[in-house]
Amino acid sequence: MEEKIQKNRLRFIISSIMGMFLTLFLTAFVLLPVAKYALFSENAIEKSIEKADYGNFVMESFMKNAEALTLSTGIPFEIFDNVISVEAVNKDVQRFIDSSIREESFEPDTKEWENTLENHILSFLDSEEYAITEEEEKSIQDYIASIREEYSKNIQIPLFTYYIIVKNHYDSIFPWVLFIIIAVMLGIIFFIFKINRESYKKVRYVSYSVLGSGIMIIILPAYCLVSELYRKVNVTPEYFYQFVMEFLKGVLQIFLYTGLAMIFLGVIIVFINETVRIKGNNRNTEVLDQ
Amino acid sequence: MLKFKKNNFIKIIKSELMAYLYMPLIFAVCGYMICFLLLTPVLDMLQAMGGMMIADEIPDFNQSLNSIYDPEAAEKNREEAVSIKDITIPAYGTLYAHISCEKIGLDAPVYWGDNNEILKAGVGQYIGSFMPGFEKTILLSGHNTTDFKCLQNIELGDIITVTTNYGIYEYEVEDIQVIHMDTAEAEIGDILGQDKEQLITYTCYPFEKMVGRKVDRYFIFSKKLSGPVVE
Repeated sequence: MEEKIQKNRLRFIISSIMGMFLTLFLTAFVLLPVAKYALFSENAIEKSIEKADYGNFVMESFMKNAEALTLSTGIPFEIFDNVISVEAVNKDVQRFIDSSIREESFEPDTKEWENTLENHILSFLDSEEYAITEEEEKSIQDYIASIREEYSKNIQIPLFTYYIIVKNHYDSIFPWVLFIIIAVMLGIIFFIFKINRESYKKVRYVSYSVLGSGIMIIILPAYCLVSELYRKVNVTPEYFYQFVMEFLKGVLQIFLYTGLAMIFLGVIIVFINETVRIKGNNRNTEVLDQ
Repeated sequence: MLKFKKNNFIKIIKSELMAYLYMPLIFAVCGYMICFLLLTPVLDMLQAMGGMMIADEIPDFNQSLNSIYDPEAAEKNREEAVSIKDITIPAYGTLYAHISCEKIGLDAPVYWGDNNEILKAGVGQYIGSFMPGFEKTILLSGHNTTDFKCLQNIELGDIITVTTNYGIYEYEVEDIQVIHMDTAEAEIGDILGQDKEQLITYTCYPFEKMVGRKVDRYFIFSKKLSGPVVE
């Protein structure tokens, strides 16, 4: 009898340790694909750009910088009226994302608005009866070049090229890491099933792990969302901050829902396992009653 | 006997159901501890990165320019010396003084800092320079199309007045130079370290209405004539 109790205790300890490791690997198994489709996905970026009203913010920032560049020239800022539209900015941002993903260099197509801007400048100087010399013609081209440079700088999402490098690296190791995790998980589950005789006990440790994994996944995103930690992200300019904030919020919400789904799955497993066990015990009690 | 068995059975069921609460919690806590231990070698680096990426407060991008300038206080203060304790050091983007020169029509607010927003509102002060009265260099900049447009008419011997809450300072123009923007930083950098109070005002050059990059800067160097010394 004593020996049986000892064996049961040892079985419990080993199963618990294995269950704890299963919790870790299960968490990694769930988080890896979620990260791939929430953190490293083109779709998630595009959604965040839309939500953060990125094009409008970029346009606003570009206009402020262009105004600063224009102020020192003595030309009124009205020359920018109807030169660049938010739609054009949005298109260029999208083209920048596409080029970065393909790891190609990006240059926005600015010819159309550059011509409009030049015409506006010439019209203004003409209305002021200002004679344009060859040197001033060159100055106009220099000024437009500085505006083009500013536009190009504003269109590009800061740090995006680094993000793409990390994404590509993640994509390349993802299947292998996932394969290893699945193999280890199956090994642990097999071990737990092997050392426990009763079928409800076998499933019980797996359900502990599923619930534990759900708790592990939930805690950090829930903390970040409740404390609004994601809003304290230290990036500038404002349009980039808005984008990063929306992106992080989306990723954290997906992690939170994934954790909740894991807990829900755990509860279902517990429910089925306990129903099966109680039914089995009732059958045994009935036999005893008879 | 049968009743005892049923009660015992319910107790077991209850205790086993409780295990579904505490066991996952124990697993999660142990899981976090394992992660923490695994990350220990890079914890300092992660903390440093976190500190860089996460600010103490939610950033406020709608900060408008503030003001601590009080012209009445300036008029009242006619002391020869002023204690540093009585001076409010302005935060970046704060209006703290006024610059004027009646002869050329210069009359503009002076802000601490010199970003685009400040230069749109008035004259900006380089934060690596000093406030008036500290017996060091004061470096002010402005657009040559707005506040500092009138500097093109300034002449040697003209008086520039800087009014602060703690005193009124007068400076006499003693030199005017056109310096290329590439060399200006080094030349002015040397002057900034000198223990002599002088006002340097500069703007883009030439003044004519023309477009393009103005690569020269118009510098006006003025020596201190009067104003309280900060002790």
